[in-house]
Amino acid sequence: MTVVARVQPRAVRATLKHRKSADKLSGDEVKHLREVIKAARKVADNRGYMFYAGWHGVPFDYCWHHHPLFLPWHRAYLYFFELSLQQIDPEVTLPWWDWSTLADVPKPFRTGALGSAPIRPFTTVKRPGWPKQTFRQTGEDPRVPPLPYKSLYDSALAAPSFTTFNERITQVHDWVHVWVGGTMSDPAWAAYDPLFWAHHCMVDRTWRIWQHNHPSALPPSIYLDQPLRPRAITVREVLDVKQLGYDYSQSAASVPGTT
Amino acid sequence: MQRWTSEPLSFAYDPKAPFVGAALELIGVDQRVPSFSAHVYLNNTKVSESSGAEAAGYAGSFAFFGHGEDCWGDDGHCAIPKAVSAFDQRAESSSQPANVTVDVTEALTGLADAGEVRVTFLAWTSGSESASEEPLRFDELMLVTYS
Repeated sequence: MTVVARVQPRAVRATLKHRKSADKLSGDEVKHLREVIKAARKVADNRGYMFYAGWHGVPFDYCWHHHPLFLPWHRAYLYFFELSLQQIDPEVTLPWWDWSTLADVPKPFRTGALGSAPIRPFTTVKRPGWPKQTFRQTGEDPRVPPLPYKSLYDSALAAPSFTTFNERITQVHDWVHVWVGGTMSDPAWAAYDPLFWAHHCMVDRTWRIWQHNHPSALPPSIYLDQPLRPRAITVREVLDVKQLGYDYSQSAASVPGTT
Repeated sequence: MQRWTSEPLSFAYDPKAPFVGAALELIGVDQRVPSFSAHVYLNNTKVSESSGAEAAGYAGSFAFFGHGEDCWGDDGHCAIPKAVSAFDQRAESSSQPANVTVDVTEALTGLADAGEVRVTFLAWTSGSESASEEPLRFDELMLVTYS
């Protein structure tokens, strides 16, 4: 007779990781984030920066915009990208860029490894004309309103339904991409720019705050069980950030307990 | 810069029960365009590129994060695929047309007596000075008021 023992799911003690405001990071935190991003760029396989940057545009083209899947898809995207960075260093988290109060790109994202990035699409033959490096044209277009986008942010948070919130936060999101300009204004290349992740953390954070105030407001039911490509995780499974192991905080401190 | 003016859109206005909200719905906006920003004007068909938000009839503006006109893929990559058989269960295309809503409550309230408006869009491709690009493409424009 063969006895088969099945391992039961077990509860684990897990501490949430906190995403912080990019302009509030300490010098050590900025240095640390830069080192992890640089290390991720050196990983050439499907755990590396170029692989994940490629989900959004070239070469995989999985992203959703102007659609009910916009927020869930990008939440899952940030989650998997952040996990890939945490494989390099478990303590690192993605910071957010608060374009509702800041008039410019957060200082850590203006120079160095967070200021620009090479574009080397994952296992793809490059074509003539493709950019080799990310670049920005921040605030150069006189027709694009200057940052910060406080009133648009407030309008999004005041939305009474998911559909309206999605429409309004999409508007702010689009304005920020266009304000940054350069490769950030093109979905094909935007995610290669380190600033992309900070921008989308702010979008995701705004959704998190809106969800806190509208706990029963969900995306349309027909989408709740839809997988968010390329992973099998569904819309329903990304609704609660705490189930994904993170939250957004102004500050987070802990001390040892009694044991 | 792209300029487009609509045919007249009618709306009802009852001073005893004025609308509390008004919106322009751009339906079927093509996402396969370069990113752009646009200004919206009501009943000012002669507005110029330099008019900005100070011009008469200014109703608002919006940005659009477009997929890019110059597709980076092979021929047909950005085309919106149709089902090739009754058993085709592939997910819908993320390039399918979108809808955009522009709140025009304040501007339309100021034109309450007009009864109809012509909408003018001025659109500029992000980061481009080319006047020949026309990034704003859509199927239908709807003016909706809410009581």
